[in-house]
Formats: sequence, C-alpha cells, structure tokens
Amino acid sequence: MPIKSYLVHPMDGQKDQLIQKLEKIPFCELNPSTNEDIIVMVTDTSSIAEEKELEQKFEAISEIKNMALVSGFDI
Amino acid sequence: MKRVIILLLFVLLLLGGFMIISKSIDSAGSFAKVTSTEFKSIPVPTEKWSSETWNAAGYYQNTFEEWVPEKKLDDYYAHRAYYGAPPHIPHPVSNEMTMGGKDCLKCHENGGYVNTYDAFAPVVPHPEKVNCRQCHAAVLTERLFKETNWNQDKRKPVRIHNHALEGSPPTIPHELDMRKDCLSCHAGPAAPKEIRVSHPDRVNCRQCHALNEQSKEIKDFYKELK
Amino acid sequence: MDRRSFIKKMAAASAMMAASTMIPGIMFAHEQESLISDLQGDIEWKKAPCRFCGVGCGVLVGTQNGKAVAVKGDPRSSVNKGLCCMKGYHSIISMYGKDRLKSAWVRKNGKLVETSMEEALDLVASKMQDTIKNHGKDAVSMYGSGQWTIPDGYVASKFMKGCIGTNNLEANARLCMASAVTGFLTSFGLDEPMGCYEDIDYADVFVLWGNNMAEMHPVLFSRLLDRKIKDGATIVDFATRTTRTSRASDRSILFKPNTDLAVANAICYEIINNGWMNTEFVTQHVNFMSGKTKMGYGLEENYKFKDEATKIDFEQYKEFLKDYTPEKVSKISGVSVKDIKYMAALYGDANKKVMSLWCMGMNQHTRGTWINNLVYNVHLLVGKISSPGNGPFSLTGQPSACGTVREVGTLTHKLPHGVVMKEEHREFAAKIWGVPVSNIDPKPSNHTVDMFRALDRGDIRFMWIQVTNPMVTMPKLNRYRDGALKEDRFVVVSDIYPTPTTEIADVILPSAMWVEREGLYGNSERRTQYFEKMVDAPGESMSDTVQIMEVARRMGFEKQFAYKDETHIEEIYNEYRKHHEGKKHNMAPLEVLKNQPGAMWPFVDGKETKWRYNSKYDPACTKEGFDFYGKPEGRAIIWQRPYEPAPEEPDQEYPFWLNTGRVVEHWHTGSMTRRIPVLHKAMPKAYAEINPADAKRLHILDGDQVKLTSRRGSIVIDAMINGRGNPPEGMVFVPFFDEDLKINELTIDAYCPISKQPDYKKCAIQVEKA
Repeated sequence: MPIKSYLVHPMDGQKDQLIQKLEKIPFCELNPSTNEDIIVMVTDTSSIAEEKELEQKFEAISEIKNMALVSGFDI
Repeated sequence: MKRVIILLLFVLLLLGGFMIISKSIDSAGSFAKVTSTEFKSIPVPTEKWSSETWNAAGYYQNTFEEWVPEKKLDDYYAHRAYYGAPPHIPHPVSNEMTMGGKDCLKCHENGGYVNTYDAFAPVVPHPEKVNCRQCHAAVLTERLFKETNWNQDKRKPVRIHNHALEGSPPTIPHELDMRKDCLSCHAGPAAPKEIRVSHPDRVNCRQCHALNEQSKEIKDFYKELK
Repeated sequence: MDRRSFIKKMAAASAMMAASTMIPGIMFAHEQESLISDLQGDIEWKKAPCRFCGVGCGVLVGTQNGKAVAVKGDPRSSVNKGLCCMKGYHSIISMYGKDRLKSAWVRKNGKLVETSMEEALDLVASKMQDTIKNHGKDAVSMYGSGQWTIPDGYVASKFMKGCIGTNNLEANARLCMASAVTGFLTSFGLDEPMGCYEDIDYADVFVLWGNNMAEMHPVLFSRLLDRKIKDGATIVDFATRTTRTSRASDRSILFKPNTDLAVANAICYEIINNGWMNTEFVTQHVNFMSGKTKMGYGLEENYKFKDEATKIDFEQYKEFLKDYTPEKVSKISGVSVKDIKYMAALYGDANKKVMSLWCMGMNQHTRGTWINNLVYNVHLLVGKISSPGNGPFSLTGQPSACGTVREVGTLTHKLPHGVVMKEEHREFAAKIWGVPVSNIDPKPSNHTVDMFRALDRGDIRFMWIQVTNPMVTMPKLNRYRDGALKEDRFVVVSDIYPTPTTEIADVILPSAMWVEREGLYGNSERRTQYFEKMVDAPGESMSDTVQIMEVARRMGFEKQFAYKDETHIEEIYNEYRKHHEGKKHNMAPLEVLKNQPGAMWPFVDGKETKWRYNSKYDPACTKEGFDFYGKPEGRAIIWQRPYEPAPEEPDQEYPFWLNTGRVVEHWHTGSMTRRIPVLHKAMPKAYAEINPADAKRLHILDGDQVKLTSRRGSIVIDAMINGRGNPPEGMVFVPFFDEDLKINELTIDAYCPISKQPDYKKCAIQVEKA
C-alpha cells in the first residue's frame, strides 16, 4: 500500500491539460506550482494492483514529459 | 393638413433628437453599468480616512461569492514589469488627448463590471492622482523593437502567507506608498482571488495588520544586560 | 492526525523541498509551512485577558509542548468578540526574546554578578530591614504598576501598609489614571465608570476627548466604526492634533492645548442657554460645588495642596459660565463657534444617546481632575448618564490599572476598601490582614513624583520597582535618573528584559510574565478576568507575587503570608474579596471567573451590575431612579472649574508645544513589543511629527534629523511629515516607546495638584534642523 510523491514535468505549454487529466485519476493529490511548470503529486493506493493500474494510466498520458519519484513509503 | 402632419413629424424628430443627445451626454459622465446583483448603491464618503478610502467597505460584504470572471494574482503580476511597478493599461484607450483624470476614474474609482471586456475594473488605490497617463503606459503592440535581457517572468512577488503565528493576521509585505486604500486591491470582484479579504467590513485594517515591508532589512531588537 | 496522513504530508513536503532546491523561488498552490504544528499534535487553547492595553480583550492562547504558539481572539468575550489588534495577536512572542532575564543579578562595585534567586531575595530583605532600622520605615518604598496582577498588588499593599507600616506604595497608574480617579471621586464619590462597553452598542454619538482611539484602543474603536458604518452613528474627534482617528471620524475638531477646559464650559453654557438642560434630573440628583483655583502645578519641591469645596447654587454656576460663551472661548481655544455649538447640540439633543470617551488627553493634564469633572458636568446637565448608550466613559490605559492599582488600592493614600486617613477603614483592613491596626499609617506619604523626588533628596533610600520602566517614563527624566544613581540609594528592579531601569538597579530579579503564572487583571469596564498558568517561566524567574511574599517571609511576616504554594492565588483572591463585600463592589467568585471571559463588579447575586447608580440595573441603589450613592443625599456633584493655562506654554525662546503619546504597534516603553519582530519591523524607531508648514519654514524634509530642545534636555530624532498623524502648526509629537530616544528627558514634571498626575502632553521646546 504505497504512498509515493513525484515531481511531474509537463510537455511545454501543456501544464493545464495535464492537471485536468491527472485530476480525473483517483488516488492522486496534486499541488501544482504557481510560478513554474512543475506539479507535485502524491499518490496513495491501498494495494499493489491499484498501484500497477495507476502506473499504466500515467504511461497513457502524453502530456507528461518526465515524472521523477521523490519519496516512497510502503505501508 | 398634410403639411401639419409633416411639421409635427419633424418637431417630434427634433425633440427626440434632443432627448437622445442629452441622455447620451449624461450617461457619458456616469459609471459603467454594473450587472452583478451583489452591489448595493455606492455611498459617496464625506471624509477620506487618510488616503484610506473605504467607499468599498459598505458593499463588499460578500466577497466570498464566486465572481466570474475571476482575477488571480498571476494576472495581477502579469501587468507589472517588477515588484512595485505601475501596471500598464491592458485595454485600448479611447481618448489620447486627455491625461486620464475623470476619463479613467469613471471606471476605476469605484470599479464595476465592464461588458465589453468581460472583466471587473480594478479600483485604484490613489484616485487623487489624476495624471494617470504619466505612469500608466498603454500597450499598442506586442512586438519588440529589439530583443531584451529583461526577464519579465522572474520578478519576485512578495510572500503572502507570512503570518508570524498560526492564525495570526498576515503582515503587510508591501510598501504603502500609493497603496493606502487597502480595500481597493483586497476586496471586491476585481481583487485577485488569493488576497481577497474575508472581512472587508472591518475597516481599521492597520489595527491588526502590521507593516513588515519585505524589502527592508530590520534586525531584531535586544539589549545587553548592563 | 493519523499515521497515513502524516506520511502523505511528509511525502508532499519532500517533493516540494526537492523542487525548491532545483528551482529557487518556486511557489505552490497549497503551501505547507505549518507542517510542524500539524504533525506534533493539537494545540491546546486557554483563555486569558490580553497582556496589553486597558480594553482588556479576551484572547485564547494556544500552547503546544509547553510553548505558546498561537493567539486567537476569544469569540465568547463580549469585549472584543473574537477580534484583537496586532499587539494582541503577537503578544505571546514577547515572552521569547533572546535577552530574557532568567536569573538574578546583583551589582557589586559597579558590575553585575549573577546570583541565585534565594541569595538575591535574602539580600533584598536584609537591605530593606537595614534601611528601616537606620532611616525609619518611610525610607523604604515600592513602585508597582497597572500591569501588576491583582494578587501582585494585594500582597504589595498588605506587605507595605499592613506589615511594614509605610504608605510609600505607589504604582505607575499614578502617571496614567490618577486624574480619572480624582475626577470620579470628586464628582461621584466612587471610582470607576458607571457604564460599560455595552454602551457602544446603544449610543448614537461618540465624542472622543483628546484620545487617538484608532491606535490606542483599536478594538473598541473598531466597535465604534462598526456602529458608524452599519447604523450611521456619529464620531466626533475633539483633539489637539490630526490622527488616524480624526480621519475616520465624521468631524475632527482641533483645539489649542489646555483649552479643553474652556470648551467644556462653553458646551455647558450652550446647554443651559438653549434650554437643553434636563432640569428634572439636575434638581433631583445634582449638587453644585466649587473648589480652589490657581492651584499651582506641583513644580516646587515639597509642594503640597489640599482642595477646599464650597457649596454653591445653580444661579452662581450660571453666572460663572457667562465667561465661557462660545464667542469668548473660540478666541482662546481656536475652536470655531460653529463647532462648539455643534458639539453642544449633540449633547443637548434629547433624542441622541451620547457617549464621551477619553484617556490620556484628559488625564495627563495639569488640570486633569478639573477636565474630568467638566465632562461629567456636561453629562449631568443633560442627564445622559448611567443608562444604556448614554454616559461618560473613562478609558483605562493599562490592563489592570483599574483591577490592581485602583481597586486593590496600591497608592499612597488607599486601602483595598477606603483610605488610610479614616479609622474605620484602617480597622477593617487590619482585621482581614491579621495585623494590628496601629501598623497602618494614617497619613499618606509620597505620590509617585514626590517619591522619586524623595529618592533624589535622600528621604527615601530603598525602592523596589516592579513591572514598570520609570527610567524611561518619569517626566523630567534626567533629574530622577541621576537621583536614583546617587550614593546610598538601593534600587531593586523586578523585570523580564534589560531596560534602562535595570541599568540603575542594585539587584535585578527575573520575573515570570503574564501566562507564565496564574493571575487576574481588571479592565476599563470593571471586568475582572482570570488567567491560569499555561507555560513555564524561564530559568529562575518567579512571579512578582511570590517575590514579594518571599521577601516578606524573610522579614518575619510568615503569618500574614502563610498561603500554600499550589493555591496561593486562590487564597489571596478570596481574602481580597472580603474587602469588597457588599452590593457596591462585590467581586465575582473565582469559579465564575474561571468559567467565563471575566465578570464585571459589582457582582451581586450572580449578576453583573452593568450600569451603576441607576436603580433599574444597580441593586445597590437605595431609592428609585438615579441614586449616586457615593455622595451625600445620593446627588452627584457639578463642579465649577475655570480655565487655567498650562505651566509652560510656548514663548519666544521655546516656540513649539511638545506632545507625547503612543503608536498602535508598541506598548509603552517597548520593552516587550520591540522584542516582537513583526511589531519592531513595523515601527523600528521613534520620530518627531512636524507640521508641513513648520517643516517648510525650517527647511526640514521628511526623514531629516532634527534637534528638539526643552529647558530640561534635548534629543536628536528623525522628522516625520505627513505620516500617520499631523500636529497643527506650532506643535511636535513624539511617541515614547523608544528607549534609545528618551523623549521624557524633555518633558516637564508638572502635575495636577489634586490627582498628582504629571502632564506629558504639554511643554515648550525649540525645533531646529540637526
């Protein structure tokens, strides 16, 4: 049941669309930066299966340029 | 008979013309049309409180209603070249012959909704300064003459979550020069959402909010025991 | 907060930190700066009265892990209804200054040596005993404060008056409220306002007599503004300079200093002349008296004054007022005839409820008692008193000048109930104190200015100063500072930070502050408020109450101070309550005070008396309608008081008035508020407000250094032009919070002969560019 936090970099000029797409995904909490093109995302899933599902969803989003994992807790 | 009718028609047209012209002269000097129902009638203050006018206090009671379109702090900063700069004029200016004065103040003294731009006119905190075009530049083109190194995006806005203790009133991080009317920027629909105040009816602002201008370096006070 | 959310917050925080190391200056939509407090458990909120001004706002202090971390306004308090001012909101930060005194210090050969508290207290007790043995009991003195809690003042009074037997007990409230007290006693026979803050909710007109309420009693002023905006109440600012208050008022009327006496009389003249007098009220409830005039100003050494009252009748009073027609008064006061008539009309209008409010403008006045009497005269003539919305309200400056100094009676002539001069009062006090009645000295000795003069002359050799900073606040400061530094003067100072007063001390005792110990305060509207101990005091610091008791016990008075440590405050308060039993002054029991944000006295049969002297609200009245039971026949007194000029007015050599006062950011001498970074940054230095026309003439620009000189001292200070206040031409205003710019070196130690309160608002200076 991992809790992970990421720094998400959107493709140039696609920050707002990315936020809209990520908002629809469950188990994701967003904290976008107000003056840079970076989004802090915290994911909180209750099982490994859900975690895998989430990862697949992320791969499908084309607006993500780069996702950097900052911290992860397996509880 | 026919002549009488034609004469009557012309008289009516003349009268009608007079009425329309006088009405339009009247309305040219009046405020922009306000469509929001949140506003009560605008009281004209008899005394000014330093330059801290509170003409807005009486009717900005419900600032937490969602006014659409919303103004964000980013929009506010987008009009200014650096911290403290006078904003440029983001809309076309009709009368080039005037320095500003009543022409600008008719919308910017009390604010209000402007249909043409689908926006709320911001209230100016220093309406006593009537030579508006001296400081506020119009924008006639987006193209530059030559490239510049001036980095517009890296201006440092002041920190807004700056309260000393949990729950204590945030301090005033900016200079008060030309910004003595708190409510003009902190209340009402033209105020950026992030700095809209929840209690505009409390007009003795500086009772709770201390001036801690962020660009000033003032060291802490303590003494040696002697 | 459970474990999962804890971890999520940690994860988000680390991502945000990573981002900000990569890109400095990055900002996020949801800041998480209060991470720490969320993570470490909930904040515990406990009620207390605010540490600062006489409004006495109820605050909730939030503590966490033994530290005070936040302040909220107490929404249950009827005083402030959840609102505070910037001093209140940041008050707890004043406990955590870097240079907080944590241990006792003794001066040996000019140098301060750290000692243990026990040793320091031993030294204080032995020095006190020596001084009494060698020079008599009137050679020791104690100078306390309106910021003393009620138990502090009570044990001080019991110790000095009951045990040692000297009346050399004074407090700094002599410098702030004495004229208000004598005003009450001469007009009504009993101290403290007859109305309460609830009057604000009913009044139609507020007349402010020389007080900058927007900065000095900001929370109450916000209540006035609320009434003005929502109900159209009128605020009239009657002052000597233009301030934020003036600009917020409906009418700002400026008068020449000291001529408030004349204008008040002119208003009375107008009221009588226009037939606005409430004849029924005056015939049934008022007596007329006159006192001595040309009393002098207390400037001479050993100046003594005793007023003599002569009964007069209404016709004589009317004859006297003929000298105060609006036309005549307009010439000396600079107030237009129209404005005088305007003010009189507001009082005279039978349909308007009028509340008069004042503080230091009227009290720090060489005729302070008189001007207090005169404002009461106005209200008595129209019968607008002791009823909701109608009434003169004397605002207090300090948080417990009422509660401690006036009610407990820590002044040279007072006892908790009554005065030392009356035998039955001495017997009453002695019985409760458990001391022989012969201990209590029947003759009042020295008031504050006299006490410091006596210290200078050598008649007093020992002074214990607690919770106040006289080496910044005494007028004509240089004399009294030099006096305290003379050979063979032993000064003990109990304080929390190094101040100019600790600089002259022979022993410095560290005190516990505010919510670091249990206590009670009493505010302007007779509301006693209790606060419990919420955090520990640092190091060896000890509450002032315990300091006094420890010294008293060492001097052989264990029996009188045999309170148990854990319950001493409760025991002291219950003993104190005995002095005030009765419908006129009963204090609420401690249980009530613990459960609610304070209770007003008289607290009779479980109810507060909100309006005194009115039988509808006051059970102490003996007859129907109005009963001013403090005076014979239940009649209040209208005093015939003339206009007299100030002792030192501007002349050829010293052409400017010097006016002093406060600013909203700082409390008194700033020893607490300057150590609060938010407040210090908002107002780091004192300044001199100069009128723009004067500045132009003297070639002074805003920010220039100017030199102010009086006959007693001089100072170099920054000029401020068109700042938050604007003095009229010929006046300069300087706030006194800055201990590095001691403006009181210039002020004059003239005082009101009846109240002995000095006048900080009027003396003559020169102004020049430095």
